[in-house]
Amino acid sequence: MKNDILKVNNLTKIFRIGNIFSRQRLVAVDKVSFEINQAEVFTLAGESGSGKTTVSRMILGFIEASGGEIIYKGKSITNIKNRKERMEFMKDVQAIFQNPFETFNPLRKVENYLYETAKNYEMAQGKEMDEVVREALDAVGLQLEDVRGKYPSEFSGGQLQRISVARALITKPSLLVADEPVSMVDASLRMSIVNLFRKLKEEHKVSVLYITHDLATAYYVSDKIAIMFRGNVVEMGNVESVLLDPKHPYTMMLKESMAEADPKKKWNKRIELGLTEREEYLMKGCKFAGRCPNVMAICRENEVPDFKLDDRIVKCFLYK
Amino acid sequence: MTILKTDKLKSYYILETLGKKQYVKAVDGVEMDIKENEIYGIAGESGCGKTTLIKTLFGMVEPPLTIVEGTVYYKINEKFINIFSLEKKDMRKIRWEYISYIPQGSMSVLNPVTKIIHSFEDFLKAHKKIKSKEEIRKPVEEHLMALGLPTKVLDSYPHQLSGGMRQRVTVALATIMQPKIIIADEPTTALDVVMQRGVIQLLKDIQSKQKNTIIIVTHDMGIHANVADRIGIMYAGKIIEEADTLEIFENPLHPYTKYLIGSLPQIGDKSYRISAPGTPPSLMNPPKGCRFYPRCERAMKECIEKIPKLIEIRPNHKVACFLYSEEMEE
Repeated sequence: MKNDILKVNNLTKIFRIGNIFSRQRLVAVDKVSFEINQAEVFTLAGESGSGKTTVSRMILGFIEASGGEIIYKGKSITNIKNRKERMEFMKDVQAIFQNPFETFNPLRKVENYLYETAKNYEMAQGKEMDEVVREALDAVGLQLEDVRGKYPSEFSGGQLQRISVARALITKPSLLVADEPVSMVDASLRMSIVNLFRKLKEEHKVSVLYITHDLATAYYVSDKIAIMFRGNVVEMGNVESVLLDPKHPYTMMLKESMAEADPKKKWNKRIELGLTEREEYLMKGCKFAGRCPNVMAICRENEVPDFKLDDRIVKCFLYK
Repeated sequence: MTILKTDKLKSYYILETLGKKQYVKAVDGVEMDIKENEIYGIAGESGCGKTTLIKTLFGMVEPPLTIVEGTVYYKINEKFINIFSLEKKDMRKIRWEYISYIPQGSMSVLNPVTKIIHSFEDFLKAHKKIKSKEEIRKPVEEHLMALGLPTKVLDSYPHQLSGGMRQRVTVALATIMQPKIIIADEPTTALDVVMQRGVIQLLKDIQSKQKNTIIIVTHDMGIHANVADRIGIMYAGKIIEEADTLEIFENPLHPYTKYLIGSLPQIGDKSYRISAPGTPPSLMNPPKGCRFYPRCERAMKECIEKIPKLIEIRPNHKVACFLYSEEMEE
């Protein structure tokens, strides 16, 4: 039985850069395909400028895709024009953003966001509204009384991020799209957010698209992971196999660059840092060829197809 | 060999509204003793006073920030000098030549409307008698090459560089005078893992070449594990534990440090981890006794009233907690 709730097929986004005289096409997301099952945490990982946020913005419908399709619960949503369908989709797929201090308007009480979401999506009316809000806050471990009447400046980053998860939960979504939800939260409070995703998955059967560059929390929370580099998914599979035994040279480097919180595992190798993002995006063959320790002649000239390796997909000629 | 020390340092933000004074106790009785040629890490949550502490160490104290008690000493030519007794012009000379500062957020450091080389020019002209532009370009290029950075960045504008490259240029700028002490405030925050690695690699290279002392502030324990020789854990304006890096990770004593270390996820380990409950206290109105007691699961009666003192309970391992000693602050 197939129980994927979100399926992305050959999703592509092309930005045009430069001025009127020198136009260039920058393929920010290049034929990305993956699927997310019910009650599954799927991580998109990669460094900044890898296209992971662009993927999430296309899924949420903030920007239009240049190609490919997004199928949600069996229906294509790539170009929903109908307002009613759009609302239904938005109700079912909610977003959590990176910086909780920017998510909330500093001059408005945070409870407004919760009540407004409940009202806009017609989750409840009148007095029942309190109940809906209370339930959502309860799921993230907060009390309505703690939140009522307060402004964003009265909360810590971790609390605000929890409130933004609560807001997303009001519509009882099936999928949460969380774009770097912990990178602005203190390391000491990070786990409270990440644990929340684990709990939502286990108790409420919510799926999460978790976008991050932090492989340690990705390993902790997710079931599957896709590593992105300059618009391509270079490796995808179960989180255990990809992170414990990476196959793509880029995944290896990404894992190697992680500062592990263990003084006995200090960095010993040196790493190559890349050209500018733009130069790498415009490369012809494998985008990682400029930094790859195992680069071959074939890599620089030809587009790399996906190779299947056990239960994962690797985009690298080493596994031809 | 001590190179920088503080003496019961208290620096508060004093805010006055309608004649009523309010104190934000950002640094509240910190005693530090930084050794020559070491990398000292300061860890703690945002809003615990880390940035205020290093601003004070750097002598950047301007109202509303005020030194209430104690002072900072630098060791210059084998003598300890109280930096707050210095004339402005002497302090200006010490800054960058003796001690330098890598601020957080490189975008706001480099002037966005001039090329990078002009930032270096401004910087060097203030410290050396240099007339022509050529005289500046050569040492700057040599410095960048020694650090493994491409010299073409000098002719770029800040926005043309990636965040990681900008941060590395800022590091290059801060170290061109070969300072004895480098203070780095969250140098890797807002960078992704690969760039973080690049910046830290650069800092370590510089340290091994120039033999300077580095004080690095970050809340990322992974960075501390990798670079620091010794770590001080800061909580609500106080250092609550201090020990060698390995000791802090393997044998944390303070309940807060235990939470901090225990909550770190690691690849290959999916066991359930929790972060410290509750939220950090406000520095305007911190708890009366031990600052951590409202969040501490081992809080006792004395924790509510009295403040534990930071004392050495094992060689090179200091902790401020009544579980280990009864000594308290007056």
